[in-house]
Amino acid sequence: MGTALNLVFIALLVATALLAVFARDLLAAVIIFSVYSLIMALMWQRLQAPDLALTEAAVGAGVTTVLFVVTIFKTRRREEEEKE
Amino acid sequence: MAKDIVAGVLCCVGTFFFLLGTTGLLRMPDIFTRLHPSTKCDTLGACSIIIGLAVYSGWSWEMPKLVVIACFLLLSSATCGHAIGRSALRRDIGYWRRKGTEVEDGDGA
Amino acid sequence: MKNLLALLFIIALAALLLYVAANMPPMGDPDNPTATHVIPRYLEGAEKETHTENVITGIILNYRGYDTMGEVTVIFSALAAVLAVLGRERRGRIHAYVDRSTVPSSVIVRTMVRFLVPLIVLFSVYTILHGEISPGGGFQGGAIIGGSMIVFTTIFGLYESSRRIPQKVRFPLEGSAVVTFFLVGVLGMVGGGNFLTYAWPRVAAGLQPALVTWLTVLVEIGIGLGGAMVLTSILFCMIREEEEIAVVA
Repeated sequence: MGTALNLVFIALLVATALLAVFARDLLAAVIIFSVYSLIMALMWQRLQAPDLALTEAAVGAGVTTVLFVVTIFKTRRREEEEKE
Repeated sequence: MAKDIVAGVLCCVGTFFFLLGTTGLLRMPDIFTRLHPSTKCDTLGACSIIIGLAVYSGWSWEMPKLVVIACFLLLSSATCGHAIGRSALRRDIGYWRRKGTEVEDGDGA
Repeated sequence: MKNLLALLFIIALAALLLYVAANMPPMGDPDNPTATHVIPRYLEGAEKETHTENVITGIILNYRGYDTMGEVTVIFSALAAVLAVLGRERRGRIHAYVDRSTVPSSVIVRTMVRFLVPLIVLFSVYTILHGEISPGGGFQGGAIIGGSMIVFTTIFGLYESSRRIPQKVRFPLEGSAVVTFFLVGVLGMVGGGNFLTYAWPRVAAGLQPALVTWLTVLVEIGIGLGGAMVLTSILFCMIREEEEIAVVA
């Protein structure tokens, strides 16, 4: 049971990491990245590191997401299309 | 024993509403109809899971903490839904119409 | 071709890492190399040597106080560099997009934020002060205060929130993490021990446990306050808008 849950979490981690890299819409990438942080926080809790889980949830999912959104707001939302 | 059953039923109800909410979020066509199922996720789904956990933990120090978390979720997610809906309305984000009956306002995004 | 090479390299790296991971001792095994040397000492000695109930805090702030102090210095230097690049706001000219949004926030949202932000700050104070007996501590509590300031700024605008925590309050407190840590270290020398000795030899042995606890809490408070203020400053500097920047860009 515990192993299956760990495998689900790890699969979600890999999926969110890949999605965050490949997303064309940078706002979507930031939101996916915050989901990644949240899953990472759950993983820390499962590895019995509640201190790290708190840090990851507060900093990764909370503060950095907002700072990224502010940055996108000040620049451009879409990644530039590759020019051939 | 009865405690376990009540807790399990509450958690199952919560998970069911999460499933419904996520399905609705993916299936619905525009922001206002999407807001409707997705706010149910937080309020009904998460709160019944947390209350189930509070029942499961019994009379301990975990229970009041879980109840406080449930209250926080109720207040904050309801406010969030209100804010999203209001700003979408004020910004004239168009809403969905059945095909063929579109009006000129917005693009239905 | 280049992509293919990169893909091959990544697959080789992943295979190597998985091979290494498969050969690692199982997690939680008492015969692990990590669990046979210093960990038993920490787990057995933390309670009576560092007088902190949370062993993690005991290790971070007491056994490995030097490491943590270097770490705090590095982190806060990096944050200071970020602030230097962004540039500080000038008095009286601070405004941002959130201040002149076309959709003013409604009464419901304002009331809820006014009600919830103090509770969030209360929780972060709890996290900071309880870092010594439960999970949490200065870094986490500071980040939570930063999050509450983000909520407040989003709803009430930059002008209001920078009036609540003006720069002349933030500026001296930003360095409080490093300063408090060094001060506690030097106080350990004044108390007759080495640098960063919490249990001062000159103090009566009966008072030492309380002293160690209070000094640990003091360091946590310093780190929390510094982190909160630096995060708030970075947020303010990032969302504020000035005409000069718009001209350059």
